[in-house]
Amino acid sequence: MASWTRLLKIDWLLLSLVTALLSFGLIAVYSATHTGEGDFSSHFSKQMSAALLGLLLMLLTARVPFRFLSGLSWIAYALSILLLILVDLFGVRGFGAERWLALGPIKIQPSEFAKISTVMAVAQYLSQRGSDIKKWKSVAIAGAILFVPFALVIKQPDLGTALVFIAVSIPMLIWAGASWFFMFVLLSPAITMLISFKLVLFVLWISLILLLTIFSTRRTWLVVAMLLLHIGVGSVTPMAWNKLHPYQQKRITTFLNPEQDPRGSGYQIIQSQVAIGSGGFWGKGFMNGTQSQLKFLPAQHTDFIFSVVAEEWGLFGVTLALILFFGLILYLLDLATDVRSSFSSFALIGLTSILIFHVFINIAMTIGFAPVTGLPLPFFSYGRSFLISIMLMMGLVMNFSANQFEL
Amino acid sequence: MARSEPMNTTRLYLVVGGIFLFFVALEVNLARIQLWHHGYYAQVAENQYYEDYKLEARRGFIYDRNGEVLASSLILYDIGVDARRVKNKEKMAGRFAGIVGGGQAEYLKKLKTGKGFIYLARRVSEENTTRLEKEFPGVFRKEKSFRRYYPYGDFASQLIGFTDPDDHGLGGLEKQNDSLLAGQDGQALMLHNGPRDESFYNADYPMQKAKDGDNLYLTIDKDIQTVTETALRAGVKKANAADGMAVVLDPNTGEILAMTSIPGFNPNRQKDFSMEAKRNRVVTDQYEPGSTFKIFTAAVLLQENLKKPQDAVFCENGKYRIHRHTFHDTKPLGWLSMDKVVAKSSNIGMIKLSEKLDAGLFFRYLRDFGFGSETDAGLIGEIPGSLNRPEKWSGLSKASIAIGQEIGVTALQMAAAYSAVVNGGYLYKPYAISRISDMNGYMKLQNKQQEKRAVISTEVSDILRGFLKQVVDEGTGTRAKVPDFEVGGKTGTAQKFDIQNGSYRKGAYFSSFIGFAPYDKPRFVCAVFINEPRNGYYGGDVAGPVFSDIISGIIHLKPNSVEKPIKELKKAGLIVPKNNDIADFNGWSKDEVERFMDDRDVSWKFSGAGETVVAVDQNPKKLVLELGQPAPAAAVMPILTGLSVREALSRVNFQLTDVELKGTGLVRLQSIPAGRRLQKKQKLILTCE
Repeated sequence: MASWTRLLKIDWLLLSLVTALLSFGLIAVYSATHTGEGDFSSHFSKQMSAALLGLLLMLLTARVPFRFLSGLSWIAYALSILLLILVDLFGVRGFGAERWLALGPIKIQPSEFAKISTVMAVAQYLSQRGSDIKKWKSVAIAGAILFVPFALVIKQPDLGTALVFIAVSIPMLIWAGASWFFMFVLLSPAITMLISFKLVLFVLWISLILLLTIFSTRRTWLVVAMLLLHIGVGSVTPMAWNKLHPYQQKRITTFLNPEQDPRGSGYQIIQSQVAIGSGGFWGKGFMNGTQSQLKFLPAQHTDFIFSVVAEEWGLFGVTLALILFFGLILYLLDLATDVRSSFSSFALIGLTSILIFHVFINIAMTIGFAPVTGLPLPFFSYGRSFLISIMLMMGLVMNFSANQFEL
Repeated sequence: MARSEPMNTTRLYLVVGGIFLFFVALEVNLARIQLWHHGYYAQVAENQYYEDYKLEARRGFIYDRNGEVLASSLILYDIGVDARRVKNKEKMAGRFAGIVGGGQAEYLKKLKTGKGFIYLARRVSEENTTRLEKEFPGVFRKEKSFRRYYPYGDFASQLIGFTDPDDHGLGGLEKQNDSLLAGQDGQALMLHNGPRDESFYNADYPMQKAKDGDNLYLTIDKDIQTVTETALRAGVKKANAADGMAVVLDPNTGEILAMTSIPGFNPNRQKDFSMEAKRNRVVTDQYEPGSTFKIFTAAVLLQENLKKPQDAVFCENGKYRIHRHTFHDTKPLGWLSMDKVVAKSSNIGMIKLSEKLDAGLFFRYLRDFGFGSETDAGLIGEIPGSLNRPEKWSGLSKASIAIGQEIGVTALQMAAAYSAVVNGGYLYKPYAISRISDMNGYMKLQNKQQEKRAVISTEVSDILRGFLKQVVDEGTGTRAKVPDFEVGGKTGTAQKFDIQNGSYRKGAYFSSFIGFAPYDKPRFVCAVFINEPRNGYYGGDVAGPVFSDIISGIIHLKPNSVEKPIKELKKAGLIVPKNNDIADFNGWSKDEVERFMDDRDVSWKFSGAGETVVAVDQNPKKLVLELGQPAPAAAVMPILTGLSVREALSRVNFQLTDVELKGTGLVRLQSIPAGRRLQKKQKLILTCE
């Protein structure tokens, strides 16, 4: 049964998809950071080296014996938490947030790796004998595993990355078999947060929750608890909003109305839309995007790299990128149903969720459908920590693929 | 625990379907932006990196016949600076405050708060700009603009006219010749980057240079005009009059040597003056000439042989009644010969002399002298005056017209007709513009004298000159005498007709004197009009002395022929325009020019320092190539994709690129992106398909 491919532990389809996305991303970074002085921009060579290192890491990760993986998850998780605490204590400031940890000459962003290790740890916990998602105790433990890094990241503060932890938890819990009512209980506080600013809506919403809870359960203490929880969340949220950093508030309000502030935060979204729209069907051609080459696009090599792609390669190029992303996601989900090990399955769902969340939020941001959260686009955005973390994820995926028949 | 299998399949489909929908939503929205709204966004993109700059054309100058500047265009600069490159901001702010004016604090604030490129001062004179540039070399970017300036202020101002603050002609020759003088503004398309810390000319849309306006050379002689204005101003003041006019013509050509109305205005601040003062009343207003008109009646009588100079007529002792209207003389006169009738300016004598004159004939002569129609001098607002056709004449009309009533004339018509009386009988078209040249001094148009017709014979003209001399020697015009020179002329004292009451206004006179000098060979015809004098009113007393003053001031002057080659513009100490037409050399390197010129029979030389030709001055004798720093346009990579190889190569600056071609056909890719600034020589790979 074991072909030589299986022995090498290389999933050729996955490798092709990853390589295609990676190459496309490198081309975009080259164009977005080209300065005209040298042959290669320093940004590009850094990104290139990270890509090569990432590829190597991916192939190496694939060869880690499967049985070690679940054990490694806890170690990685503990290490991540430690690093996040270190960031909090000795972090390097960047964009008003402590995200970077300087280890000698290398600066790393522990939150990028914490996403992976947290997913692995939750997957490990959910696949353990004795954990039952239908029981409140198991949910509480899984929630705690997620909450610790979430809290540390939001303290940095990095709202976008912190949201990834929330986004990851939902599919993983559903995958583990959580009931609809349970998910409702879990997710409804988020809606309460959004609605808490309008009193009328808030009252209506609380009544709806009350009705739903009464119809779903006869346990009085649960009804009372739900009611208290939502009233609590609803009253704390406006206070918490005032405690957000002004730039975070601005990101959210700008998302709601970008034209209101065309020279400030809205400027980014408008310039991004102009870049995308002016690209047309075929695009302006490699290195010919006026929005990017003439520096109209802010953060064009990081958060707004997709706009550069859209400007220079047009709808044709972005459709190609979307097809590659969709193909990869579909393949990962398919793998999640095929693998025999629950751990692999949960982990694949978690990793896929990270990928989906980044892709959707980033692209929606460039076309003005999501706030400027600072979530980068996998394989495309400049950033070595992020690229290597994505490649590490792909290495894990390849490992699960190679060991899909193991239990 | 392990995952539950049934949930996996149903939920998987839901999840995959959901994700697919998300992708479709992204794709649809991308298509919406990139296809439906592509035009809009492409326009927005273009609008934010392109900016149109107007390159102002310099308005042409107005010179007198000898090349004296009457209207010029001062060069002003908007001075901009890259604040980040200024080391000592306090010093620069201080110098700007000292030289340009304004507060140091304000300049300092601009320098400190400005991001990138900022304008420090606008419309700074060329002199001050040069001073500042010497103190802060290589920091400024200047944008040229112009402002009309009239060095002599109130000087022939109604003739020359004036401009609005944007230098559009609003009156006089400035308005009539506005399009000629204005030239054509040029245009440059600038490319900006997002942070606006760089902007450069776009080589794809070559700068269209401004085409400067043409220069006008007038027939006016500055000295004659000065004398005329001074004398008239003094005369108007002395007579305590409302206003006055004066014209000096060359009777042999029709050239207007001087033309003025008082009060005048200063065109440099024309807003402070009324429209009344700005009108060129010499051509826009008509009046009843009165006695000065008698010379034309005499001319017709002599030309038609109806009377001889010595024919006598009884002047009825001052009162003569025809058609129930009584004509008067200023004092009772008896028998007078025709020459004496003119000299003593007898109304009755002239009316009786012309009794046998046929009305139609009289009319045709007057029309031939130019009355009742425009002189075609080409001056704005000119009116034809009024001369009714004989069919409309009443029984009194012929008699009235014979003594200069019931007819409306302009000052210029009178001067032109007097010229015909004294020059041997030829009516010339008066004209004010002698030549038009382009900004480089090359002639575009040369106006010449234009004879309209011969009105009377030379013999009659000679007799009439005698009549006019007699007026000055022993008649009403003795106060117009010019020391040491024999002159002639005719006085006029017209009672002003009040249109509202339909009668002549008592005590309101229009006094005039029209004469010529010298007697034997007239070179000047000078007409002086004083309106409503309150200190004396006889034309001979009020206008005569002004005529005398003017002629004594100018009789020794010999105006240069207007056909003499134009004195070079340099004489006036103004900018020497560079000829932009020979653009071929612009941007050439010094070496390239030398190689090119070696085997050509052209006299040429370099001026200035630098490696690149920046301006070409096509001196008729020698081609002067001014060297300097290369124009920025040359240093920017143009958009080459989509062009044929030939077209693409024609746009590339070979001094800054080594071009390598791959493939044939249309350029598909260029290795250096468009808009990039080229500092040193770079390799440019053009991939073609």
